[in-house]
Amino acid sequence: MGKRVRWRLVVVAILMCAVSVGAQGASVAALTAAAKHAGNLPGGIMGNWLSYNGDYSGRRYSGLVQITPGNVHQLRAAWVFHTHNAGVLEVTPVVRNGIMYITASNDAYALDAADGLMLWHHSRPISAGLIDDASNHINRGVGLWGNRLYMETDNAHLLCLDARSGHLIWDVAYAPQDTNYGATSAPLVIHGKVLVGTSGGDDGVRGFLAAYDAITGKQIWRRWTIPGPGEFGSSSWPGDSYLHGGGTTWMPGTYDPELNTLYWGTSNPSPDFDGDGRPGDDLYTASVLALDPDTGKLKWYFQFTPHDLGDYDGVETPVLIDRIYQGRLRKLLIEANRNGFVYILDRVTGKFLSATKFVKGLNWASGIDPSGRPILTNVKPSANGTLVCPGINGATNWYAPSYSEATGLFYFIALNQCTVNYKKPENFAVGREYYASNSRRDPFHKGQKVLMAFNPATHQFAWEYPQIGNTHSWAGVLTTKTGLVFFGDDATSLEAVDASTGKSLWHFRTGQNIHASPMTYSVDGKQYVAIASGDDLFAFTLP
Amino acid sequence: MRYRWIVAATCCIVWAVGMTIVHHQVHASQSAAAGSAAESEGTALFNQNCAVCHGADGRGGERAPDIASRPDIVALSDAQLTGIITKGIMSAGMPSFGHLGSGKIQLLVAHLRVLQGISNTVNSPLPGNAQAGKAIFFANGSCSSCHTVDGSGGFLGNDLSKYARGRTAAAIEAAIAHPDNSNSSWHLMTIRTSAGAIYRGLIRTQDNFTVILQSKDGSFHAIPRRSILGITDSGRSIMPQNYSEKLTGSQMNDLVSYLMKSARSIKLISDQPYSRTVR
Repeated sequence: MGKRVRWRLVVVAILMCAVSVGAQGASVAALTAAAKHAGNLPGGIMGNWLSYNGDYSGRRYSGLVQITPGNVHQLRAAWVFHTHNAGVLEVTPVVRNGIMYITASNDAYALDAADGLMLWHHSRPISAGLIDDASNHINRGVGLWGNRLYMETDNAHLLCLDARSGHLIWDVAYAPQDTNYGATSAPLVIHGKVLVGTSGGDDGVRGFLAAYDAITGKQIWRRWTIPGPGEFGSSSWPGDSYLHGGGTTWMPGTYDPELNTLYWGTSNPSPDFDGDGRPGDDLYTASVLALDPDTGKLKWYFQFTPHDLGDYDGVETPVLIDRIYQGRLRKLLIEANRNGFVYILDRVTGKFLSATKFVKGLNWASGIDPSGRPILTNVKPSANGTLVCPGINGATNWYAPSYSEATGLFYFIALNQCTVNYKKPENFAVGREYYASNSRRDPFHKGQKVLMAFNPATHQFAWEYPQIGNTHSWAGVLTTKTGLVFFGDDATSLEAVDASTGKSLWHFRTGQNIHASPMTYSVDGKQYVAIASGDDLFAFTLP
Repeated sequence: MRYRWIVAATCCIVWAVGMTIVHHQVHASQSAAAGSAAESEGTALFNQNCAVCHGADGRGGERAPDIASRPDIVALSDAQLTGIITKGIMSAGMPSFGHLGSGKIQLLVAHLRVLQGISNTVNSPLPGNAQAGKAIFFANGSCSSCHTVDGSGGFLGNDLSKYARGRTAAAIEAAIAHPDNSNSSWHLMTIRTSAGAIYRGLIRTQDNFTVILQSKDGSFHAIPRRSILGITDSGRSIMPQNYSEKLTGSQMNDLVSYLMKSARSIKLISDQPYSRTVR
């Protein structure tokens, strides 16, 4: 070996050492920086997308500027990753330092985010004996903490995997097994605590949110959403009905690091359509809870739909925004709720500020009173069936909304659809859903999805983009600093529109009904947009 | 003179080797005979008690599920299968077979493993002390620097928690003493690029366009193939090749025992009850 080559090798070796030491330090620094960024900085999410919603605010607003309204028409498919055994993917990928983490049906994958090559695959069989949503084995994604990755399984286990290999570190069953509990969500990691909820709100479980230590897997706290005997709100839950009250926590919440407050939504009460056994407001179902993430202590709550009879879960993303509202800068919480109203709350105190109807033909309430309480009509489920609008699938649902700092508008997908809801008393039973009793499609109207652009300052819609399709999409929204809105449309396409006008600028037909929400990230200076569709993960980039 | 000596020596060696082979064959067929007696009893028990519902091949039928190929059932540990057979599953209509006694249930589990394509490991005694083996596994710079068992250990090598399933003690020892050098996935590779970088680690995935290597610090490096000047393949597994010298025979037996015990345990699928503390 010549002297010159030897010198070069030495230099490179030293650089490699420095880089690897720096890389380790950088990954810690990146995490700390990410934790800081996760708050309310106007730039939003940048090259990494570190959690289900990208950051703690739930805005799904990206500060990346490479893809613009001017060049988005050139966007093209970069790669596709096929998951072999998933039913339908509902995951939002997490990307950190060029590695993408996704989940399928109890499986987790690490992919090279630039070209979709698989780095590792953690495989786990789907669980037998589940009912309702969990029996579809859906999974919304992962949480990260250092070199550890967290995911839920369909039967409500929390798994901790080594993010470098996919090896299992620990596995904790966090809900009683062989019951109607399941899980379909993505854990949220805050301060080394992993927050997990469950599904089963239509199946008569008692909802809860739990925090587990990210290193040891030990439970730190558990907050039941249905009060037990003697607790505030227990008048709604006579006898042991509190054990089957619903109020589950099946979507990831949001978090304000400055206020150190966690915002988490709860589902409808059980049984869905028969409220006779649960008199009163049915706290804390169909609500958003503001919690201390270190102790689970309740700071405040707001109930969107007291004594819900429409299956109007309150688990839609409670998006945290800071903006001028009615003359002054305010910390707000904005949520497009399943019940057909888009709400604005003060997220410091929980004070109700406004509610605006966003679907046509809403008939279960005539409005919302000044305290935030719905003014009910007499439309409710009946033995012979009642047409209720919005119907059982809600005026919107779990698919992601997004708030753009660029336009100041709040974007979400609305579903204009009614259903005929039936009330028939049922008893709770393990292994059976607990709707009491069921619902059918509106025989006269198919329903339609609409992409809405809501202006929180004026409480009006800047524009609406009605979708032509079969209402089989369950796809969400993403916004970027360059003034784009990406969303899954109702005919299998990923579409990009101008955020100010709603004009469609680009689309790609994935050919499969989209049940997930788009996200964006960058690797080595190149921006990608990715979305799960059917059982494939698609990534797009500029030429 | 010299040739005659060589011929005689060769004949002795051939004779000795031949006797050893015969001896091994006799020994093997004796243990096979003992093994197959147990197998026949296991088969008979299965046919009498299980086949009526699950089929003689275990693939299920109208009355009972496929217990031979369903991944979630194959993934159950021996202890979990024993529990299910002993207690039954009332809600699903499977009766309890506890009346057969633990000896016969062991044979049933062993037969089911044969149907599942996993050979009988239920009756194999551990060759050493599993607890001592655990200490060896987790000793400084030892197996756990690359491998994980039951959630602890390294990321470069495979998770060995269930490795021993379906493998004999002898096969496990052979895998430790003589790492499989034929699989280049485990070879330490050195990649030099036109940018002057050098990467050292394991190639995790590659195609016509990209090589992805994981280095010892855990980072993944996606290297465009067109930038690669050369890949140097160490030619053998990154796993140390000299464990048969580093470990005594008794330590090796302990290490193998630890892996076998781990594969039989149910620790990873947690049945710890969650805390019902109400706040």
